[in-house]
Amino acid sequence: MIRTQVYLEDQTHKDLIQLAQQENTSMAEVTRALLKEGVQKRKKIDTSGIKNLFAIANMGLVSDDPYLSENIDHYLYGAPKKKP
Amino acid sequence: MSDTLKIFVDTDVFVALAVENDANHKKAFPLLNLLQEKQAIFFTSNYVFAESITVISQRESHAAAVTFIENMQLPGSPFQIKRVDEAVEQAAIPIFTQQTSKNTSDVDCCNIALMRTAHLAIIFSFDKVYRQNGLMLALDLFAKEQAA
Repeated sequence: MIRTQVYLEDQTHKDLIQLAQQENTSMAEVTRALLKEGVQKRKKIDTSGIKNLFAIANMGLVSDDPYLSENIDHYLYGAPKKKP
Repeated sequence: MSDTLKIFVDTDVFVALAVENDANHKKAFPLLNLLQEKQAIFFTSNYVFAESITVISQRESHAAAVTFIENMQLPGSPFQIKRVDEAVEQAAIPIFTQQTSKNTSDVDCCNIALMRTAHLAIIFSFDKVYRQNGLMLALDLFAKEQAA
């Protein structure tokens, strides 16, 4: 094991002490267990964005302006159309 | 980890991907496939997210905008949205004042400032303004590879 130091919010510290008392164990043990659980959960999250972009690419919207992506500033801010 | 390709996505590409008859859809989709092969990681800003939602709602429908939001917040795979904070807003001001076109938006400048702050050099966009400001378009990434 590696010894490390982190700053905790007051409430988190109080919660850890309370959990340790409830579970009849040390605050260190509760902290280790929670961190392990949290890291495993976080590792399962895909934050690459690729799934989101393919989901968006499959929305299949149809616009009356075939140059909508180039004319965004026209529709949002009144800039001249880049493509008529 | 340092070799990971980190790409910022701009509003025009979100819209080009979502709208299948958009002139840039046929360019954006193959690029997305190439970026997937490279295991790129994508980011955007809260400003771009807001612009995308608004333009899709205005030009398509509220329901389409809600679907877009849902696709950005897929359970287990949320899209990474970096927030434009006060420091980024301040950094965007000199970028804006240096622009020569009145049509470069402050949102574009905030994107540039955010990318510089986050050390991101490549943007998934077809807007040449980013190239003029020292950033590489994702399109250029593959053109460079084909030329090599």
